[in-house]
Amino acid sequence: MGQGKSQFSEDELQDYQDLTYFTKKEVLYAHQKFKSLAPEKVGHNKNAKLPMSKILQYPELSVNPFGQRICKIFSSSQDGDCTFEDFLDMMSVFSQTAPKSVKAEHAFRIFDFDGDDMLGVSDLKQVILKLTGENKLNESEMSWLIQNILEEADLDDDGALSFAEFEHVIDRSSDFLRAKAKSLKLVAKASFDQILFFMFHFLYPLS
Amino acid sequence: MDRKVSVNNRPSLWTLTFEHSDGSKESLPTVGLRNVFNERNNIPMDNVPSEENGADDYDNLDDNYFDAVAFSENGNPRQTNAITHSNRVHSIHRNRVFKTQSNNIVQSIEARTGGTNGKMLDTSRPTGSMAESIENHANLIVAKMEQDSDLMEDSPTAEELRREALRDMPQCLTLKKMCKSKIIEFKLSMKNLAYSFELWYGTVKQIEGNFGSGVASFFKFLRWIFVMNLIIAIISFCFIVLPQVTFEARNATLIEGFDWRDIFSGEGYLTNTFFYYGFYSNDSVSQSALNYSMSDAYFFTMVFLYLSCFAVLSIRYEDYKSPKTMLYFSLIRTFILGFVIIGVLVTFWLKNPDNECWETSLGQEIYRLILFDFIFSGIFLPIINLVYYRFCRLFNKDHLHFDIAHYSMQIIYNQTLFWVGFFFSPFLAILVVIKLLLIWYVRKLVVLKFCKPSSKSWRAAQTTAWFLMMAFLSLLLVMGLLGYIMTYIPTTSCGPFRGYDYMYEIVTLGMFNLRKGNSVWKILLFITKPGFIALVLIALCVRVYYLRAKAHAQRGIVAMYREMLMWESRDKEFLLQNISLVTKGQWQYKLQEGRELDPISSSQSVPAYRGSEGDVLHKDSSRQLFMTPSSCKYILLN
Repeated sequence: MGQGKSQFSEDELQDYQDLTYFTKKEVLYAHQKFKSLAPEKVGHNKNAKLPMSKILQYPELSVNPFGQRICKIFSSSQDGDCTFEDFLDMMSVFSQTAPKSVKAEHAFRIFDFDGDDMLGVSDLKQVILKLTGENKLNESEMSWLIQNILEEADLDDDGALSFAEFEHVIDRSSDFLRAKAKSLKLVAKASFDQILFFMFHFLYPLS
Repeated sequence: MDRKVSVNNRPSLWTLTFEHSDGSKESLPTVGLRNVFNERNNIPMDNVPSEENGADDYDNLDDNYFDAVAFSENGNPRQTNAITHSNRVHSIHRNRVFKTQSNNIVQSIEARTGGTNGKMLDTSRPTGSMAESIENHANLIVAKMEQDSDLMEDSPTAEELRREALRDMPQCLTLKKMCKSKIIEFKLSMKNLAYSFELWYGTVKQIEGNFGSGVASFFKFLRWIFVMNLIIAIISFCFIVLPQVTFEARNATLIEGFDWRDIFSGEGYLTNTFFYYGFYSNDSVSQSALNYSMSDAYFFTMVFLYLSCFAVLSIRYEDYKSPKTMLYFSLIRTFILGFVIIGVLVTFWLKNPDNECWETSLGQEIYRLILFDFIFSGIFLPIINLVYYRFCRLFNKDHLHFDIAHYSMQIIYNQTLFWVGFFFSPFLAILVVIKLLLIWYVRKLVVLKFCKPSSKSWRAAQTTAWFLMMAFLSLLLVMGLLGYIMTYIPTTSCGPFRGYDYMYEIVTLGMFNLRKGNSVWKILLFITKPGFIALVLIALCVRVYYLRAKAHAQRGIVAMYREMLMWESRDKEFLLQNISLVTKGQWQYKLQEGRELDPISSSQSVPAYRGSEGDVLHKDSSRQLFMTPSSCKYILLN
């Protein structure tokens, strides 16, 4: 604790506490984690910019199919390299205390590969590819799946999901998940996975 | 808002969906889904028939659900909507219906997401220099937030709202940090701006910091009197002195040479200048088509100024009136002394009208009093203070305190003199303003250089109330005196009222001169109608009733707050006791010994608390507080 405190002033910690969903203690913990990715660099400069490859070594990100994409979204320079503040932002949004609406906003940006603020067919395709891995689905299965997603979620029938539609369907799917979990006697875990669960749901009929 | 339009423009889709799913059990969730969507977005469901169990019945969902959706919508003609497309650009920045759906919250969300401006997102993707782009973006967001009054208020709620708005903003942390510091900067600058309008703000704060609120309340009072006199001076100068001096050739017959001693006596050369009542004419000052009656102007300006001073003082005094009255003996003593002096003086001039223009003589007398008051209390007294201070320093003695009662009574005495003399010497206002200005700086010098902070604490609010009450009382007496002069003392052959027997005749005669058809006359007739008077009376009664009810309610709230404070201090006491136990290690000991992890039994081990008859709810709340580590930390930190 003392080691971490030496790198941050009380004001800085207060700022971080106000602007994230973390307490000061958690901020310091996050900084320890960040430091462990590149001890000598961060020890020198607490807000050092680490390259994406380093950030992806963080265990939770390395197993996430969207790891690279997440880094890019949270990077303040938009190239995937993250400073500690970017890293902290990322941790805060993915933390349990962050509200679902904030998670949804970031998830939308993560899924929006072409950056047009709509989840179009190509975006959905990439999401599914990331989730399933390459060459798991053939072309017709893929288009059938996308068609299904759009029919379920695209309320204004413009062939793409807007943020409002996306957020709505996430709300919907977490309710669905709860119902499902009840029947399966599973404990529903409130986490970011809920959002991905919606996507997974459409893969069921194929397996 | 856009969304509402776009959805309402597509009734056909809703109907089509419904027709397909009409009566089919499996398709219920579809309608439910739409219902939910509509509810969330506040769209009136004109075309969607509400199903009783449609919206909430998620538990009935099974795997057929999506097949049913596919079935019901297969074959629907895909409708593309131009309006929806236009919304694409900024979908991420749309208002989302938040916890409460009141307008201001929506506004605050608009601010927090950078408004519905679609370009905001584009700027977040930097093209040129990154730091610069982030800075620009932060400026934009802060500018948006500044426009929202709810968000920028100076209350804890607004602060919490600001914090939440910043935290939930889907932007990177560096940018949020920048926004936060910018908002703090902005708030500080706004505060400074507000204070820069307050006269001598820094000086008062400095004195308040060094000598306490009691001394500061004297300076605030002095400042307030100064500002009031400044306004009086400006008005009297504009409406009385200036017209007389510019348009009227000097009507004084006797012009004496100027002697420097006249400054102190106020006589000689000064007698027949615009300083005094006698100089003002009763003619109309004409300039081309403009007619300006000096006597009317003199009378009505004076009456207006006295009455408005009275109103302002009484209102301020009411504001400061505190329930407990403490006797400030020295205040009253000085007050009575000052008033006796003035009373004797005025009586002397009223009873002995040997002079052909006693009004001017009275004005001169007041002028001399004000001047010498300044010379003694403004020049000699500080010099004495200085000598005394040096003397004390030399012999290492306690140096003097700032005598608030004395100095404020001097101000009130001066103000009373002014109110008496002002009627007979309109120019006196300007002199008094200059005097007060000098007094301000002299007193400031004295208090900061020669005085030491008083050990006796003053209750500032009550002190101010007393100052105001004294000033109010003196004005009341002066107004009574002037009323008596206007109605009972015959005018002399000088001054603006020389054509009338008594001063008040300017009103009565003026009234008779008004023609019947005159609009002023009509207004007068209307005002004196019984109906109108009754209306005014009723309005007053309602107002009084309202104020009484409000006062009663406020008293209740004060009692409630007091009780809450008491409970809070009890909570604190209880927690502190527990904390002291924890620090002694007894807490752990108790836990181990009793093998009880239940905090209730442990809290009962605090002897002081067990005996207290505090209600159950209170006990529970304190216990909960204690059990949360964050609140524990909070208390330890404080």
